[in-house]
Amino acid sequence: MTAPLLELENVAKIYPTGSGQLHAVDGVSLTISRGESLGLVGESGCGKSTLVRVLSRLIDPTTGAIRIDGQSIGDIPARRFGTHAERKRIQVVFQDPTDSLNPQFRIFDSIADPLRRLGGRKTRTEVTEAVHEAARITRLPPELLSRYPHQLSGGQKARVGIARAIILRPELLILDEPTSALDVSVQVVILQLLGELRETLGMSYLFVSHDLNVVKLVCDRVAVMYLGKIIECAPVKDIFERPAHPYTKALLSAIPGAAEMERVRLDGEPRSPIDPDPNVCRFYGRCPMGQELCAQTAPPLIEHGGHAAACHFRLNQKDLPA
Amino acid sequence: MTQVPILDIRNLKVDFATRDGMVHALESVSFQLVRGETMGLVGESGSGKSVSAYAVMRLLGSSAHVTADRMVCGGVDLRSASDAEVASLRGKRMTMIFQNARAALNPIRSIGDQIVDVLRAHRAMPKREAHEAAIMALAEVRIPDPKRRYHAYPFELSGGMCQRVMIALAFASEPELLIADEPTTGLDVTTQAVIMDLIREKSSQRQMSTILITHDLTLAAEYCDRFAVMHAGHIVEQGTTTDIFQRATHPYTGLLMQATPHGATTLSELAAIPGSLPDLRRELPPCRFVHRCPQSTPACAAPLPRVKLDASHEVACHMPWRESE
Repeated sequence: MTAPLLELENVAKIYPTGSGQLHAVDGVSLTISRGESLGLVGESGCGKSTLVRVLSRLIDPTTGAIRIDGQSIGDIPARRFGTHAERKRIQVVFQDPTDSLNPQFRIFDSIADPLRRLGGRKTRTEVTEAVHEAARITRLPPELLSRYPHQLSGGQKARVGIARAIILRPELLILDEPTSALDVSVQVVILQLLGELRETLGMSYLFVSHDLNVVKLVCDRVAVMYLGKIIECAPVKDIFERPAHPYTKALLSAIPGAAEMERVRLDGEPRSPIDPDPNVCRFYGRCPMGQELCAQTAPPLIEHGGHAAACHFRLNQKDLPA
Repeated sequence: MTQVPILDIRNLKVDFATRDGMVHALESVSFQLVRGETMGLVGESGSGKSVSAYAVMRLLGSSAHVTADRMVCGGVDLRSASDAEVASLRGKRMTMIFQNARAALNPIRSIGDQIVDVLRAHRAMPKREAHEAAIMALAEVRIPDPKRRYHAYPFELSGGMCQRVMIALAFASEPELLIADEPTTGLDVTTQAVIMDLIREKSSQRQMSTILITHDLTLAAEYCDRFAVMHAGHIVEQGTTTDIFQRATHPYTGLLMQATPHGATTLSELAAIPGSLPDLRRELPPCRFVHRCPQSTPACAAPLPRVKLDASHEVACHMPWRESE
C-alpha cells in the first residue's frame, strides 16, 4: 500500500453554543489514497459539510491532524490557508451551482479566478489558454465564457463549477453533492464527466452525497457518518451487500425501490449533538437493535478485513474471524 | 370496475402570456383519477408537472389562459365554478402539499395555530376541540412532543419537520384529493421514506386519491399505482406502474429510465437524454420530443396520435418503442 494522499486523524470541530458544546465533527479518522474515490454519506446535520469545510481548510479543526502526502496542513490557520501553496492541491465543487458562482463575474473570470490567485505569475495569454483548456475538458462551449451565470442552464453551471475546480489540477477534488440540484438527464452527463476526469487527470475524490444510488456508481469506498462520527467505512460493494451498522442498513432500505430489502424505518430525531454523552452510542434511541450495553459504552470503530463499523452488534458478520 | 373518477381532466391546455409572447406550457393533457388511487406525474423540470397541479387547484394567475374540454373534481366543473365555489373545494375536498414546505407555511404563526385555522375554516370545529385535534394531527405525522411543538414557528423546525407539518395541514381537512408537489425533494432518504409511508398510509385509510409530482422515477414506482410521464407540456405516456416499467413505449420514458442511477452498477450503463427541452415560446411541432428523439422519422411531423396499447396503457407517439432485450 502506498502512503495515502489525505489522512485525517481524530479530527474534531466543536462549536461553543449557549447551551453547551456542539460536537459537529467528533473524532473522525479517514484516509483517501491516490486516485481513490471515497463517498461520504449521512443525513443532513450529521456533520458532512462541516467535515468538508475543515478538510478544505475553510475553517480550523478544534483538534486533530490533517495531512496531505504526509505533510501537516491542519495547523495552518484557515485565513492563511487561502493563499498557501498547499491550497492548490485540494479543490472543492460546491453543492449549489448557482449560489456558488459570483453573479457579477463572467464565466471566464470565475474559472480563471483560482489560477490568478494561486497559479503564480501568469501572462494573460497563459490564463486564457488555461481557461479554454479547462472549458474544453469539461465540455463547456467556449462561447459561454463571456456570459454571466444567470444566462446558463443548471448543467452548464455545474460544468463551470468543475472547470474552475480542476484548473489548478488538484490532487484531491471534494465534491459536495455536485448533482443534487440537477435533473436526472443532466445528472448522468455530469457523473460521467466526473468519472472520466478522475481517470484522465488522476485525481482523488471525496464525494459527499445523500444519494446512495449515485455513490454506488462513482465511489470505491464509502464512509457513513452519523452525528459527527464515522460509524461505518468499507468498500462500496460491502456497504451495499452486507452493511454492518444498523444505521447503514436503515439508510439503504430507505432508497426507493429497495424492495428486496427488509424495511427499516427510523422513527424520531437524532440525539442532540450538544454535549453528547461519550459513553452512549450516538445512534441509541433510534436504533432498532439498541440494548442496555449501547447506553453504557459507546462502540468504537473496529475494522475487520477492510470493513470498519462502530457497533456492538454488527450485522452480516458470520463469515468474519472472531 | 368502472367508477366515477374523482378527477377528470380532458384536453387541458395552458398558455401564459409573457412579454416575449405566449408560452405554451400545457397541451392536450388528459387524465382521470379514481378514489383511493395514487398517480405519479413524472418528468424533468419544466415539463409542466406543477402547472398541471396549479391548473387543477385553479391557482394560476391572470396571465394564464386555461382551456379544457372537461375539468371536473368531485362533480364540480372547475372551468365554470365561481372563485367562491373553488375556494370551498380547496382545502376541503382537494388539497395540496407544496414543494418548499418552509416557504409555504406562514412564518409568523405557530404551526399549531395554522392547523387550527384549517380545522375551524373547513370543519367548523370549536376552538378548544380544534386545539386538541391539532395536537393529535401533529402526533399523527410523528412530530415528537406535539404539545410543546404546537407553539413552534416554522423557522424553529428542520426541513423534514416542516414537511410533516405541511402534511398534517393537508390531512386536517380530510380531503378526497391530495396533490403532493415534490413532497420530499431536499429531504434525506430516511425522512423521505417516513413521509412517503405516511402519505401512503393516509391514502389507504381514507380512500384518498393522490397525485404525486416527482422527478424521481424510482420513488414514483414504489408509491404509485399508475403514472403519467410528462415532457414539455405533453403527457407522452401513461399507464400502470408495471406498464411503464416493464413495457415502456415512448422513447422519452425509455431514455428517462436509462438515465436513472437506480439499478445500474457502472456509470457506463447510464445514458444521457440528448438535447434539451424545446423553447415553449416558439411554434412547436406536433410532437415536442421530435428534436431529441433518437428514432424520429418524417412521419413524426403528422398530428400526434394517442395510441391505446391496452385498457390502461396509452402513448402519444408515432413510433412506439420497444427496448431491445
